[in-house]
Amino acid sequence: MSAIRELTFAPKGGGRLPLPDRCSLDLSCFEEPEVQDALAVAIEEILYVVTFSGIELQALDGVTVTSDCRVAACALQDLPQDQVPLEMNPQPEVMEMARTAAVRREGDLRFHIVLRRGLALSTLSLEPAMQRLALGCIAHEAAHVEHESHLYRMFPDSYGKPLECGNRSRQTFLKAMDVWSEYAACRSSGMFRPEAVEEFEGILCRAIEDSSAAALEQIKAHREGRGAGDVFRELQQIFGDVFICAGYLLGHVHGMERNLKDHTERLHEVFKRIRR
Amino acid sequence: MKDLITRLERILHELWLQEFVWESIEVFAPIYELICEMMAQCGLVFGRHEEEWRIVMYEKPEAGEAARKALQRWTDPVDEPGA
Repeated sequence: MSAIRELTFAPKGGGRLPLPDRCSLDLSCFEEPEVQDALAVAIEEILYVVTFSGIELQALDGVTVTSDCRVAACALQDLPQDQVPLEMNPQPEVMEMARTAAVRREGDLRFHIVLRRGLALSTLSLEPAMQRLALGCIAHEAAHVEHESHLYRMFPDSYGKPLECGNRSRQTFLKAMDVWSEYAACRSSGMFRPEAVEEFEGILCRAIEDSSAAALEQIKAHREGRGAGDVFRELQQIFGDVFICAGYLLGHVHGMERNLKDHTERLHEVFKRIRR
Repeated sequence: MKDLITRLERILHELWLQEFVWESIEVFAPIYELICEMMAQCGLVFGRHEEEWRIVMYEKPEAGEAARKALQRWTDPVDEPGA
């Protein structure tokens, strides 16, 4: 049996869920057929669960399980020569368990979820916390499919060519869009793993605390001869990532219908400490 | 920093409420401005005039205002007194 399967969601009865008629499921990174079978069932079930929760997946192209999400996502973006790929910046390391890539299919823009193999295996874990982690991450990526497809339906020009953002820095503008993207995905999927708030809070605290020192280091490196362009790009990356981390936390908090001031003690300690 | 994150919270919530009536990608500009504000607080301001970029870096926060003004004079030369 091929390791690339087809999941079929075409309605058999009257009702119709916001799922594509069919999508691919690539499990070729697993050799054992029984592991592939079990994962196919688990992933299909999760796609139904997230759809029932209200996340729309009509624009889902497929799911690929891989040992390297970034490489797999880049390989999926087989665009014509004159088009540039959607932003494929490295994400903050801790977040890189899965990602969603935009792909062209017969003229349509669709979205493909890429999962790290360890995360996919967690769907079969006997530990509830690990199962919830997998469900939460897949729901998060599913929410990206919904929000990104909405974004590109509204602004089709923002895909396939360099982003037009006037006299602004394109790198930082893309970061601003990524902040929204992570916020929206977390807000739509936060209910699947409420405990993730503490993780996201910790990650944001570290990002804020580390950013000042990292920036000073870059500025010092410039004084010692490092090119201004390199330092500029590095600083945009550092501060853009701080805001992306904030997007994760804020989305998650709002997804649970709370506000930042109510449930983030550690972050408020950091605010007091840095006084910036 | 607290102020920046509080403002970000409000901006993102408003974006969420208006997601189906966005008019252009300019809706993301307020987030962009916040990131730039944080960079300025930490020692970096930058601007673009036609095809040229200028980047000003500083280590003391009090130098920030002067750097920002110098950059503005370059990006908006018509606003300069006597220009």
